[in-house]
Amino acid sequence: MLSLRQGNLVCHRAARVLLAGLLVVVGAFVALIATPQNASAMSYRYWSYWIGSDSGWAYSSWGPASLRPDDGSVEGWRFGVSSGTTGAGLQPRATADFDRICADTPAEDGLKRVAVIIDPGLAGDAPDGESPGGLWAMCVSAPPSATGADILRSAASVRTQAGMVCGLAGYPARECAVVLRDEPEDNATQESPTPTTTTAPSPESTPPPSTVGTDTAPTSSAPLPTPTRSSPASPSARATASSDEPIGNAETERSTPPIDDASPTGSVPAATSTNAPTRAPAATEPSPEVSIVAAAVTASGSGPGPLMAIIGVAAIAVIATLAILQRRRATQ
Amino acid sequence: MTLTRPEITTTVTPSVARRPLARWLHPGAWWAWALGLAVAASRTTNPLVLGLIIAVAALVVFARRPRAPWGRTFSAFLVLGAIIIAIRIIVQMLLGIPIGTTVLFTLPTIGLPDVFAGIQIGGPVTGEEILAGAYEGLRLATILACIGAANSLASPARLLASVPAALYEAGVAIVIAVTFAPQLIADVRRVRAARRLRGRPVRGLRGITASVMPVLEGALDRSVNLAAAMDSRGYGRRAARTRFERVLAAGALLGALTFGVIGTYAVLDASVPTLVGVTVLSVAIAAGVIGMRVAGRRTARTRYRPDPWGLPEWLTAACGLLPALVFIGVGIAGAPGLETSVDPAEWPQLPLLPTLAVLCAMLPAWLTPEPPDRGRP
Repeated sequence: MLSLRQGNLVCHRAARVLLAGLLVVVGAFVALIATPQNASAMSYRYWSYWIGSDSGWAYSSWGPASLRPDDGSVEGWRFGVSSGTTGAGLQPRATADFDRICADTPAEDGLKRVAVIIDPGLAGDAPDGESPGGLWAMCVSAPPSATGADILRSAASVRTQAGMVCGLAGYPARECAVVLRDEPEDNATQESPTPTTTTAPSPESTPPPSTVGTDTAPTSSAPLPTPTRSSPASPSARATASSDEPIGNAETERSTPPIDDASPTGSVPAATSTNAPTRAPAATEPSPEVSIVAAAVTASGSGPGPLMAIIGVAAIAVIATLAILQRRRATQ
Repeated sequence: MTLTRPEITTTVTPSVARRPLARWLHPGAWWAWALGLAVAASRTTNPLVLGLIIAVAALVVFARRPRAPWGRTFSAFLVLGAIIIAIRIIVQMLLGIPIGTTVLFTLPTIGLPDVFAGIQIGGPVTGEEILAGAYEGLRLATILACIGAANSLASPARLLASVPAALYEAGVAIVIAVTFAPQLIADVRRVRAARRLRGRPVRGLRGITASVMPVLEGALDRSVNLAAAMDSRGYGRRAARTRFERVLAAGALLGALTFGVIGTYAVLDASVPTLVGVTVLSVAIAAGVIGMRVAGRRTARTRYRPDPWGLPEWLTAACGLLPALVFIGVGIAGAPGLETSVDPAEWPQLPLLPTLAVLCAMLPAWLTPEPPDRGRP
């Protein structure tokens, strides 16, 4: 009896020590998982929805289907890589200028006019094998009950999935709001495409970089500068090395030799090391030109034909027949 | 006599050699196969691939299900799947945010206060919306069909017989519960019949409350009898274990649970590096295996006629796990075909690798031995 009780005591002590050890390990793992360094390493690539006003763009906290824009409002769509859920640094690269976009569209009774600006983003943010086109804008006349989604459909062909806007006018072709896992700094090659391979159309007439940083409200001149991109502390986990910027290229060439802080390992190839310097002056992107269209921009090329579907249905029918035959044979 | 005997042997031997011996396949193999298919189904919304998975599961079930009562449950799962698809479409029509532009008809809208700004009841019903509901319903129905296939192929009693020794007590409890459940229903019938013969109310609140007591009493009596019978046959005997073994088993199992929870969270949370999640999960699995092994030592008994795990079992499990791995891999690689676009609606495709993997899952219909209770004509 005594020995049994002693055994129990020893057991309890051992269990307590074990529990304490477990708690320590659990705590260590929770701390490891919850470190902000890891949390910021996640980024999304998606079309973000913006509400424009005179003071700039505001990230919409509402979905386009539950928002009814007023007459005279401006809506923006921008494709890009964003870390976090506020779309910081991802504003459309054009000003929310209603008067300019809707200059040629007369107001009609019973219809509201809404300007839509669609910005496919930078070539560096594009999925593999795809390149973004230029910006376009459209002045949509719609009944007052039209939602942001209706307005968007008037300006571009929309591909959605699970309630999310995945592609506008066929860009990107397949993916839908993918999560990108950025590896820690020295692995930046994975994320950054080589700046020279993708040849995107360059619609912009690059203004001198001195215009950047001026926070003045722009007049309606053709190359619209972007005042909102001027914040230098944009949390950019993305590679902003885009091919359609001569400035960016010049800078990467210029800045290749003196890298010391970005890459502690000396044997980093040139493509990786250029990533760090181009990231810092993200605000120096010139604002590209906006082409104002009259009709919705649609995806080029149609989807796959019904041939595969017919083959698939035939295969299912064959297997189902086999199954029914097996069933008959078993019941005989 | 001496002449006929060699003739008989020569005619019988080849046919025996050609047909594998009829035996029960290990139930774990069927469950691995079915769960693999279910995991594959959960990774796709392509109706062609989902239809293929259901057809393949049906083929294997009809080729290898036993004549036992549980063998006839597959069709019930298919019917349940059809009901799920219908419910999913109706809910999508009533509550879903409209997808696409092809308006088929418009339901009357019910106004909700501004708090529910994102929710809309009724309104226009689009073709894309119905298609999306049908695809998602079909995915759920396919997963159900896979579970149903395992249910009708694997004998539940044999599955319980092959649970690890650490779960022996729980297994015994489940076996007793499963065996006694039909007897409980028989008890209820008997008590009701007795009350009817005595002219007492059978229906209504009084009838039910009055018949509950005798039924519970009978169940208690039976369990006391069973406990006595098991006790006298030596059930519940425990092997002597050292203190260290006891603590190790408890600690390892507790650690496995904790690491399992953390690892699952780490794998699902996209902000955690994949390596951390996988490492923690593998630690959890290793701890679980060790814990089960050590905890299993407390039962000192051998298994009566254990189901062998031979080549057919390996092949069956592999044929089910292959689609799961292929679908997960293809999904991570982002290859097209697993997701079928609804808006704009497009024809579903047959992605090559996943299709081949699903067709591979059909092979157990021929690779496995037939169940013994199913004679060939």
